[in-house]
Amino acid sequence: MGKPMRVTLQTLRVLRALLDDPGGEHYGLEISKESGLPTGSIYPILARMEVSGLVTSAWEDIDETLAKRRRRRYYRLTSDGLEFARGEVANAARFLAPARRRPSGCLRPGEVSA
Amino acid sequence: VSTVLITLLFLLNALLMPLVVELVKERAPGLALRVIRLAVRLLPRAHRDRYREEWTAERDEMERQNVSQIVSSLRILLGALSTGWILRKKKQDDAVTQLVRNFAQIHPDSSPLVHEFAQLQINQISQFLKGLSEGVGVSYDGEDREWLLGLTMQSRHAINAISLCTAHIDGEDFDVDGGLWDSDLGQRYLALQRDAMRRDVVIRRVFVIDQPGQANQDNLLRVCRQQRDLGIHVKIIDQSAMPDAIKSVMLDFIVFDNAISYEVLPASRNMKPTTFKTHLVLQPERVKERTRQFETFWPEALDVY
Repeated sequence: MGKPMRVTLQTLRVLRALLDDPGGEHYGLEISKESGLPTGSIYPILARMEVSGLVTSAWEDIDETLAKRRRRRYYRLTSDGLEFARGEVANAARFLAPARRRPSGCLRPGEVSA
Repeated sequence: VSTVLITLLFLLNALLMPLVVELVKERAPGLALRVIRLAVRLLPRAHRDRYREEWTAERDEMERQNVSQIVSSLRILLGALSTGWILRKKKQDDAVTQLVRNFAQIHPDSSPLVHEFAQLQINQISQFLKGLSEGVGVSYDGEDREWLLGLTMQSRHAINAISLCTAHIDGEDFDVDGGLWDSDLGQRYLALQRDAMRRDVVIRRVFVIDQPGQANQDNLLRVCRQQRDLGIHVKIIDQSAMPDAIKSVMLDFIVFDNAISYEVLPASRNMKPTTFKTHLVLQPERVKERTRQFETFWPEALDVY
C-alpha cells in the first residue's frame, strides 16, 4: 500500500503532537498549541488525515449548559494512523539526526595506518 | 516643518491608537464570528454545520484565554480554502471509486446485454464530463430530466427561467410547458425548487404567451398561482407585443446560478410540444446573453394575481 498522504514538516508536527498521547482524544486548539502551529494550518491537515483514514473525529459528549462551554470536536488516531505516525516520526528522526562521527583511531576501508 | 509634522503625527497616533485598540477589542467577537461564517461558506455544504460548530467553539475558547480572536479567525479563513479543496476532492474521489467499483461488480455471468449496456452508460458519462471539462457544454437528443433535477438540486443562488406556452394548431388546446407541471417530473421539479428556496435560492420564472388573451387561460393561471404560492416569483409576458428580433430568438431556457443555461429545443412550436434536443450551455458569453435576455423580459412581464 502506498503512503496514505504526503507528509510535510507541518504534518509531522501534528503527527508528533497526536503521538504524545496516542490513544487520547485531541481537539484543534490543543493540537495547535502542542504542535506550535496556528489553528488555520491545523484544520486542513486534520481534514486530510481524516479523509485518509488516519484519524477519526467525534463530538465531545457533554452537557454544554453544565460545562458552560460548547462541545469540542475530538480527533483520535486510528490504528492505521498510529502505525503511520510512528513510522513517519521515526523516519524523520533518523533523517534529521546528526551524522554519527567516526570514533578517533578507526580506519575507513582501504586506509592504512601510519 | 517636518519636525512639526512628525510631532503632530506622533500626538495624533498617541491619542487615536488607544481608541482604535478599544474599538477593535469591543468589536472583536462579532468580527471574528463573521470571519468564521465566511470561512464556513468556503466548505462543501455537507460539512458546513460541523465546522461552524467546531470553529465557533474554538473562537469561544480563545475569548476565554484572551487570545486574539480576529487573528485566529483570519487564520481559520485562510486554512478553510485548503480544507474546502480537500473535502471536495474527497467527494469526487469517492464518487469515481464508487462508479468503478460498481461497474466492476457486475457479475461475470450476467447477460452480455447487461455488460454492454453498462459500458454504454460509462461511455456516456465520460462524454458528458468531457463536455463539461472543456467548457463547451453538452447536448442530448430528447429530454434529459436528470440534468434539470440535478441542476435544481445543486443550485446555490438563483434560477431564472423562461417558459414558452403553446397554443396547439387547432387553437383550442393551450399548453403550459407541454403539461410538464402536471406530470411526475413537474411535481419532482417543483419539490426540488421548494428545497432550493429553503437554501435561499431565488427563483424567477416568466411564462411567455403568444397572444394577450392567453394570459387568462385557466391552466396557465393555475400553474402560475401554484408556483407563486410556493414562493417562486412568477410573471407572464405576451410575446406578440415584443419586437420581431426578440420573438425570433425566443426559446425555453433556465439559467442556474448565472453559470449554466439549460435549453430545450422543441420539435415543433405549433404542435403538441415534444423536446427535440436539450442543451447544457456553459460558455460564459452565451450564458451571459441568456441572463441578459431574462433581465430584459423580467421588468416588462406582468405580475400574476
